Amino acid sequence: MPGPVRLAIAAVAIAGSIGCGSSPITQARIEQAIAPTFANLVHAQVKWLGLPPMAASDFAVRASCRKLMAGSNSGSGEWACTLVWLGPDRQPLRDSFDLFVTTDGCYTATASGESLGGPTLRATDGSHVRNLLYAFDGCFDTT
Amino acid sequence: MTLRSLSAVAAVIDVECAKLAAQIKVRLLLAVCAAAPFVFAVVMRIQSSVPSDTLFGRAIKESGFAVPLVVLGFAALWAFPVLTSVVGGDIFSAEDRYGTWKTVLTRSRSRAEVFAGKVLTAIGFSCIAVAVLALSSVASGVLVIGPQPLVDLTGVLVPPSQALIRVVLAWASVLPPALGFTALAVVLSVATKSSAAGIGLPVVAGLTMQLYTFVDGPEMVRQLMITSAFGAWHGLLSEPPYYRPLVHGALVSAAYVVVCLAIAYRMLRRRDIGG
Amino acid sequence: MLDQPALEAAGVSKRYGNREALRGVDLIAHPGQLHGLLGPNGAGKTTLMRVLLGLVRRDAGTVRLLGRDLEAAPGSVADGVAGLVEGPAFYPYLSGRKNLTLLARLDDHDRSRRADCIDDALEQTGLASQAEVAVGAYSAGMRQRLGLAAAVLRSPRLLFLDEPTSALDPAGARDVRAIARRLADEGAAVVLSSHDMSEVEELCSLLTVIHVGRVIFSGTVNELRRRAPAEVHRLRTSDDDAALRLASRRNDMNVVRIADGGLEVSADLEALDSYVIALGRSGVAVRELERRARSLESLFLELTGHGGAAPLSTPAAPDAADRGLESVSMS
Repeated sequence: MPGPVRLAIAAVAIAGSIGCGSSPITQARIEQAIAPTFANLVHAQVKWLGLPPMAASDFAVRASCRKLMAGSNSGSGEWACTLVWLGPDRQPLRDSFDLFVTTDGCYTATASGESLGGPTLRATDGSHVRNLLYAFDGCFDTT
Repeated sequence: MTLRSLSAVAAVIDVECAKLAAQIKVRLLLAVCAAAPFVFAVVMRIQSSVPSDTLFGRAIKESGFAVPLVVLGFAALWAFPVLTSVVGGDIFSAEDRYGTWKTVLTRSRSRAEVFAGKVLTAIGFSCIAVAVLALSSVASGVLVIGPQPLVDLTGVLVPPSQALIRVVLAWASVLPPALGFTALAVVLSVATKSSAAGIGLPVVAGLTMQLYTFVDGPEMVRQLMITSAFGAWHGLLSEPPYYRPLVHGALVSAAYVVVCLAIAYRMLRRRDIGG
Repeated sequence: MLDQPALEAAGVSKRYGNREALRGVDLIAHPGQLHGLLGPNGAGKTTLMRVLLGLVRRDAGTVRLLGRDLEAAPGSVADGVAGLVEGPAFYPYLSGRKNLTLLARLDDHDRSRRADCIDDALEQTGLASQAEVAVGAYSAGMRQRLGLAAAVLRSPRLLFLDEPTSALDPAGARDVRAIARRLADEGAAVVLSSHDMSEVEELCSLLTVIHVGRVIFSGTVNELRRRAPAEVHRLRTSDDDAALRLASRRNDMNVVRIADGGLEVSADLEALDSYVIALGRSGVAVRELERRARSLESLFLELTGHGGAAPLSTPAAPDAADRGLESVSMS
C-alpha cells in the first residue's frame, strides 16, 4: 500500500479512538454546565449592581432540563431548563430558560418570562448595567 | 538532515519570501489583518446593537477582551481558510501558471528541497497572518473598548490580566488547524496545478465542514473535521478549564498536515515537467 | 579527444502513453565541442534535453553528466551543468536582474561574487540596459537572452541549449552563437538543438540527427555532407514523371517529388550538369532550376534510406521548404 494511504488509515484510526457513538449533548451535561454558570452569573451580577457580595455557592442552584422534541433526551437543538435557587434574601426562586444547544457543546440561554428583569438593570449608583441573566452563552466539554 | 540541506532549504525560503514580498496580495492581506479588527472595534463601540449570535458578542461593550474572541469566532468561519490558502494554495501552482518549474528545477536545489522550502514559507505566512490578526484584535479591544474584566463561558468574571493570557492562548490554539488548512491548500494546488482551486477549494471545504455542525451526525465524523479544532479554545475560557478538545484538534490537524503534505510531495516528485 | 566525455547518454527512451517520444537515443558530447542536435519539431529534441536536465523521467537508458550518473528524476542539476529549455520562463512581476538574483540564490553561488557574475551574464547577453525592467515587458527575444544569461550564470562545463535562437532576430542569433562558440573554446561541452540545419552546420563540429524519437545519424558535419549534401536544386520540368524515370536510372543523384509541385535534386554539380543535358536530349524541357538549402524532410528521407521517387505528403514539408529558401537568401 503506498505510503500516503497508510498514513491516511493511521490518521482515521487515531481519530476513531477519540470518540464515536451517540450524541454527546446529554441532559446530564447540560444540567451540570448551566447550574454553576447561572450561579457564577448571579454572583457577578450582584457585584455589578453594587449589592453586598454573595458567593456563587450561596445560591444553591439546581437545574433540570429537557429536550423540547418529545421522545429524545440528547442531541443539539432546543431545550428547556428550569433553575431552582435561593435568592439574595434566601427566598426560593424558580426560573425558566429556553436553550438552543449546538453540536459543538455551546448553548444560548434566554430567560423565558419577566422574572429576571429586562436586558439592562439599574445599579445602586444609578448606572445601567447589562442583565447577565437575561440571555447568556456557555459551553461544555463534549469529548 | 545535513547542514547543507538545511542551508539549501533556507535558500529556497529566502527566494520564496522575496517573491512574496513583491506580491501586492500578500501585503494587502496582512494590512487587512492589521486594520480590520480596529475597524470592527470602533464600529462596536459606536453602534448600539451587539453581535449576540457570536460567543462573547453580548459582552463586547463591557470588555475589550471580548473583541479578540468575537473576531476569533468570525475568523473560524470565513477568514482562516482564506488566510491560510492565499499563499499555500498558490505557492506551487504559481510555477505552473508562469511556466517556471523548468527554470526553478534546473538549478542546484533538488525537488525535495524546493518542496520543503515552499511548504515552510506557506506555513510561516499562515502563522504570521494569524499572529497579526490576533495581536491586532487584542490591541484594538484593549485600546478601543478597554481592558475590563471579562465574563467567561461559565459565568465567571475573569480579571484583566488572566483574561489577556487566556485570549492569547485561545488564539494560539487555532494555529494547528490553520496549518491543517495550509497543507490542504498545498495538496490541492499541487494536484490541480491551479491557484484558483488551491485557494477556492479549501474555502469551500471549510464552509462545507462548518455546515456539518448544524447536523447531529456521528460524533467521530465531527471530530475528523478540521474546523472543529477552531472551536477547541472554549475550554480555555471556562472554569474549570477543559483541554481535551484542544488535544483532539491538534491530533486531527497534525494528521491533515502529514497526509496532505505526503501526497503533495509524492505528486511533485513523480511529475514530468513540461512533458 | 582524450578527455572523459562531458555527456554520455545511452539507450534513452521515454514514452508518453502509447507514443514513444524517444527510442534508444545515444548521445556523447566532449568538452570543448559544440554538438548539434538536429530534427524537426516533435522529433524529440526538447524531450531529450528535458530528460538530460532531470525535468522528465526517462523510462530506460543511462545518463552520465560530467562523470556522474543521473538518477531517473533528480529535480536538480549537478554543478557545472546548465540548460536553456525552449521558451524560457521567468517571474513577470520581477525585473530581469531580480530574476537572475533569485536563481543565483538557488545555486551554490559564492555570495560575494554573485552581483558581479549577474552583471557579467547580463552584459554578455546584451541585457544590461534592460536589467531593471520587469520581465513581463520583455519581448520573446529578450526572454530568450535572459534564459541564456541564467544558464551562463552557472559557469557551465556542460551546457544544453534548446532552440536558443528561435525567437531572435539575426543579430541576436549571431550573438547567441558567438556565446556558444566562446563557451566551447573555453572548454565547455555545448549541446545545441535546432531545426535549422544551416545554423547547426555553421556552428557545430559534431551532429546528431533525430527523427521521430530515434537517432538517424550521428557523426561529423563533413560525414553528413557526404551522405546527404546540404544543398539541393529545385527543378521544374515540362514532364516531371519522365524526369523522375530518367533520374532513377542514374546512381549519382537522388531526385524526389516535393509537395508543392516540382522536384528536388540532390547531386553534385557534375552529376547535375549531365542530368540536365540528358533531360534535354530526352525531350524534357527544364523550366526552373534553383539552388536552395535542403529541406529537413528530404534530408531525413535520405538518411533513413527512403530517398527516391516517393512523394512527400506530410504537411510539414512546405514550411520546411520555405525556411530553406529563407536560409539561402540570408546567406
